[in-house]
Amino acid sequence: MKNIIERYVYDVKRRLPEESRAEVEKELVANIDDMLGDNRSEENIEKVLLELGEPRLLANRYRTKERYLISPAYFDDYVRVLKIVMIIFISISLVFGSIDLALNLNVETPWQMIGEVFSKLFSVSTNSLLMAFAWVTFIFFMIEKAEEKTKFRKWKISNLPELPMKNSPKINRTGAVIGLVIETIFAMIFILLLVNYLDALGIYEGSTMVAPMFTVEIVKAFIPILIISVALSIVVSSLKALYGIWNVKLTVIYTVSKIFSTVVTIIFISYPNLFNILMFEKIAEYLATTTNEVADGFAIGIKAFSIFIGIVVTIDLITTWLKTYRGKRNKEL
Amino acid sequence: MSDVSLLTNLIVELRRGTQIIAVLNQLQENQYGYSLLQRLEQNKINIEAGTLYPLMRRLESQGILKSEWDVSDSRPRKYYILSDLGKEILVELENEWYKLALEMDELFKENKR
Repeated sequence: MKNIIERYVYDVKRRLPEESRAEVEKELVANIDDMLGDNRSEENIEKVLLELGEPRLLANRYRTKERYLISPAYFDDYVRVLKIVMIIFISISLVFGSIDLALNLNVETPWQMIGEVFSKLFSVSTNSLLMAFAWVTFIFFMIEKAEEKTKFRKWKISNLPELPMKNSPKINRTGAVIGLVIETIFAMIFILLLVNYLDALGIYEGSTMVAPMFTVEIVKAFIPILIISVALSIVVSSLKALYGIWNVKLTVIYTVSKIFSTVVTIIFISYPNLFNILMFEKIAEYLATTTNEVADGFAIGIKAFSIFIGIVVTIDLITTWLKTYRGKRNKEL
Repeated sequence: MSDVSLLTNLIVELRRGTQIIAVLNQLQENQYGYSLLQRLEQNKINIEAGTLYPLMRRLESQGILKSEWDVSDSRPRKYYILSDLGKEILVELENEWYKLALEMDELFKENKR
C-alpha cells in the first residue's frame, strides 16, 4: 500500500474545521514520525496507525465542540413531536390527495382507477412522512442552535406537565394510522366507482350490459352526502390517531360521525328504487321467478343488513363510551 | 467476578478523570507528544496516543499549556509546557487529588467492619 501515512492524516484532516487543519496535520505527522522512530517498515507504520485508531474518532477528539443534529437532551421531545407531526401530516396529505384524485382522475377502466388511487395515496403519505421528518429535525436543530447562542433555556417549576390520566383507555396509534390509510384508500375507490363508473355497473352478457345495477339519478343525488360521510369518518380516524386516548370530546365526535355515516348508509341502501328494476327483471329471468319476488328478496336482505350494522354500531358505541367513562372516573379518583 | 468487561469499563472510567492531572504534572518540563506518551507509560499511566495528542492541543487552546515548534532538529517537534495559568491549575488539582484520596480513605474505613 502506498502513502498510508498521508492518507491517514488526510482522513483526519478533512473532518476538521478549516482553520485548525494545517496545524493538526503538521503536528500529527511529527507525532507519527516520532512513534515510528527509525523503523519505517510498512508493518511498523500499520502498527502505529492502528494505535492511533480510526481517523473519524481521532478527528472527533481533536474537535473542541460536540457535534450532533439532535442532542440527547432533546431526543425524547424530538421523538414525541415527530410522532404527532407525522400523524398530522399523513392525515392532511390523505385528505388533499383524495381531493386531488376526485378532481383530476382521468383513467379508462376501474382497474386503472384502483391502481391510481393506491399509488397516489401511497405516494402522498410517504412524501408527507419524509416532509414531517425533515421539518421536525430542522426545527429542533435550529432551536438547539439558538439556545447555544443565547443560553435562554431556563427551567421553571411551572414548566412541569399535567399528570396524565391513570389507566386511560389507550388507542393503539400505529393501528389507528394504518387503519386510517386503508380506510382512505377504500373510501376513495368506493366514491370514485360511484362517480365515474356508475353507468358501467350492471349485469353483462358478453361485453354488453343488459341491465344497470342502480337507478343512476338516485345514486347521483346521494354522492355529495356519501362523500361528506366518508370525509367525516376519515377526520375522526385522524383525531383518534392524534389523541391516542379516548376522552369525552373524542368520543362525542366519534359517536356523531358513526351515527351519521350509519344513518346515511341505511337510508342510501334502502332508498326506494335505488336498485334498477331492470336488474331485478334480469335476475328473475335467470332464476325463473317473478320480478316481484326478486325485489322482495332484495328488500329483506337490505333490511337484515341494516339491522345488522345498526347492532354492530350500537355495540361499538356502548363499549367506547364505557371505556371513556372508566377513563374519566379514574382521572377523578 | 462474573463480568470482567464491566469491571474494566468502570476502572477505565475512574482513571480517565485522573489523566489530566498526570499529563499536567509531567508537563512542568518541555515535552513533545511522543516523549510525553513514553514518560506516562513509564509511570504506568495508561493513555492512548489517539487520546493524548488531541488532549494536549485542547489544553493549549484553553490556555493551560503553551507550545513552541522546534525545527532545529531534522525532525520538527512541537514542544508543550505549562503556562502560568496551567501551573496554578496543577497546584489546585493536586490539592484536590489529596483531598479526594483522604475523603475516600475515610469513607472506606468508616464502612469497614
